[in-house]
Amino acid sequence: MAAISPEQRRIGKPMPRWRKLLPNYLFLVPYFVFFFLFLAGPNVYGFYISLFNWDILLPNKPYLGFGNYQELWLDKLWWLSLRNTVLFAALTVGGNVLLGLFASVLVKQQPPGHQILRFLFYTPVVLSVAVMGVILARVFNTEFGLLNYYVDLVGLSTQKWLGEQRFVIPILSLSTVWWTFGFPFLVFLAGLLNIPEPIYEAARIDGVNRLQSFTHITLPLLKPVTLFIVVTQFIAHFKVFGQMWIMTLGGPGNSSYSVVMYLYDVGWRFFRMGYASSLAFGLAAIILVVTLINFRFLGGRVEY
Amino acid sequence: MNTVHGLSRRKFLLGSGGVVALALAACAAPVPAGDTSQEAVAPAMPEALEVDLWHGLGGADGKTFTELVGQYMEENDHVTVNEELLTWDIFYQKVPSSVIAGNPPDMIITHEWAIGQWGPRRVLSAADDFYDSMGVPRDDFIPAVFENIHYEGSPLGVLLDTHGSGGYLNVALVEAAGLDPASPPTNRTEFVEQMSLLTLDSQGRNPTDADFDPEDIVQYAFHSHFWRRWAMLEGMWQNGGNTVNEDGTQATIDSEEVTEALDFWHKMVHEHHLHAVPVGYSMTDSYQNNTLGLAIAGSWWRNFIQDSNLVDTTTFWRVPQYGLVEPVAWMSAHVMGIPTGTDEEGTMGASELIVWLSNHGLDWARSGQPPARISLQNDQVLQDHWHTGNFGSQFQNIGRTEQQHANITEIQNAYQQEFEAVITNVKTVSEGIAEAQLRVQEVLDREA
Repeated sequence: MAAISPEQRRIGKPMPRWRKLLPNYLFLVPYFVFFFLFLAGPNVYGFYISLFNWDILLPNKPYLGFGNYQELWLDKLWWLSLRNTVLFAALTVGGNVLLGLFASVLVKQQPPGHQILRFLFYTPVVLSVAVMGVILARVFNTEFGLLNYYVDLVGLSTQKWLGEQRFVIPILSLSTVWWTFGFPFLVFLAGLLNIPEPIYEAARIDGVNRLQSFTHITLPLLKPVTLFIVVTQFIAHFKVFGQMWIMTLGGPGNSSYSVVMYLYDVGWRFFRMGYASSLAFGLAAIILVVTLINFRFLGGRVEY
Repeated sequence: MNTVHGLSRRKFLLGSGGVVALALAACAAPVPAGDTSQEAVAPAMPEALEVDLWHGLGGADGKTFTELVGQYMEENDHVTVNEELLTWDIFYQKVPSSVIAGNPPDMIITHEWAIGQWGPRRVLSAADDFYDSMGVPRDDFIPAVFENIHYEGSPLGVLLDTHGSGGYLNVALVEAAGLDPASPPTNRTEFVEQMSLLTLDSQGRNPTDADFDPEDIVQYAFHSHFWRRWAMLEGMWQNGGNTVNEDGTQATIDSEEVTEALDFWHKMVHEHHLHAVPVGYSMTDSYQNNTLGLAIAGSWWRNFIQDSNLVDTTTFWRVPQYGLVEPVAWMSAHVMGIPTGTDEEGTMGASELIVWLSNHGLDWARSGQPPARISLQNDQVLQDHWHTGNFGSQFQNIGRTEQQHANITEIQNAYQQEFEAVITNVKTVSEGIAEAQLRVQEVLDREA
């Protein structure tokens, strides 16, 4: 009788469970390496830094415990920048959702030229924030701006659009909606096309008019899409920086000074990385709370 | 066997592991600059030198600087200068990062006012050698400026120029207002009187006319380009005030002198309508389009004036005396320095370039920036130039630099934001003064 080779013996024996699963985990390793190196690691280190008076260039970095967070609580500029940021984010997300939804419903009806409309709605998204900021700063320029030109042409009094506290956040928000609503538009359009047509047909047979169909079928069935848009848009717009930096430098008188602008100033212009880190964690906490609230109100299960 | 195009899963995993290991190895900490453990012998003078130079000369003066670097490389064909132009904000962020990372450029051009923050943070190497053995004369600079680039007794670089603010006057508009461009105002009263004739509404009326419409202004009398800082500093200095006391321990913003200066600026904008609400207003566009009488701008504007074909219609006025005590003009300087951690070869190349640039101040003056060396500033050809000669004389006579401080940027930011809030009517003068005082004092106390 011929001897059984080790290969034949191995074939006959069932592979241990861990050996079976090992390749799956090994495939995940590259992702986790980069995740820990570039995301989780810096976050943990950032929190560690926030416990110190961490001037990036000075050798002495005294431990403060939660001193930076106490300072944050009492910092008027933090609360002011947070108020500006929340106002900007709320207006921008609201504008993006409404305009994105309206545009997607319009395009779904396939009116004449709908393909051009789709192109036009999405085009501003491809601009960089610098280009968008420079263009719109000129539109709203007090002396030579396009807007004041037309305002003057129709006989109204011109305004200092970016130079007045009451206008500045709405204008920045409006500019950002023009620039970014193409993304929610596309996602809403995909969501609309995903709603089965027989549902609308059945409703029509039951005598439901278009408005009722929109409010009782379209909106509820778009809830998951809306949740996705609202959550991602809030996160994106809470981190606003470029528009303000280019168009107003946070002015007039800090009226458009955002949290991330403040964070940038503290960290990179004043070298106070410890306090800048606590600002970052403060903002992250606010974003987390807002996200949870969004999930609470928009996160219901949808079945059809 | 489970393979895809001949590649087994085992081989794929091994390969992936190798790639990750390589990536991690690539992230290894760099060898610290100056570590010569593997080089027992100091390198000999290399035949070819390469200099990495970072600066923020992106204004109208930038093109002259690039020409100058080109000229240097033509004259010294063994040197290649890799010029990296950054916006000043990015520059002030990248320089410290590069020093921490142990990979700084070989040379930077920074500002005189920033030396106070670079010194204690050890960003720049001491530059005594330039003065002791490389022929740069210590006594050929405006003393106040040269003093300001010292830290712990050593200069941290070599001054390239003396720059700052000055007036660019639109001759045609001034003459149209019935004023004489050759007779600038000598005090605040005259200044306000003359400027009042330069602001016009769309019906051609001045602020002194009873039916003047402040909502319909088509031409402003004057504007300060860096109104948040220079204009405010000039105003308080001309009144005898300052942002902090001499030893940098007490904020002095709530003094009568500073309050009066801020109140004056607020009136210039909202009561006399001589200066536009600055946010959302482009001084450059207005001056180019002949809707601004007097632009208080930097000495680096010369190329802008030239390129905009405004030389024939522009003349120089020194910074007007807005204040009540004495005329003062804000000034600063560009400083050429070698960052801490630059290697020997880089230091060698940078040193040659710094000395060359210092000696070629007259060429640099083509940009409009008066050379740092007084002997060059006083050169007759330069003195006769309508722009650069006047700027140079102004700085020598009434120029003043900012007080150095380790946290100067944070101090500047604090009062600028509050003063802007006042000028844009977000806060009252007393609110802005109180808040600026509090914020600057917090910075000083933290430093203490």
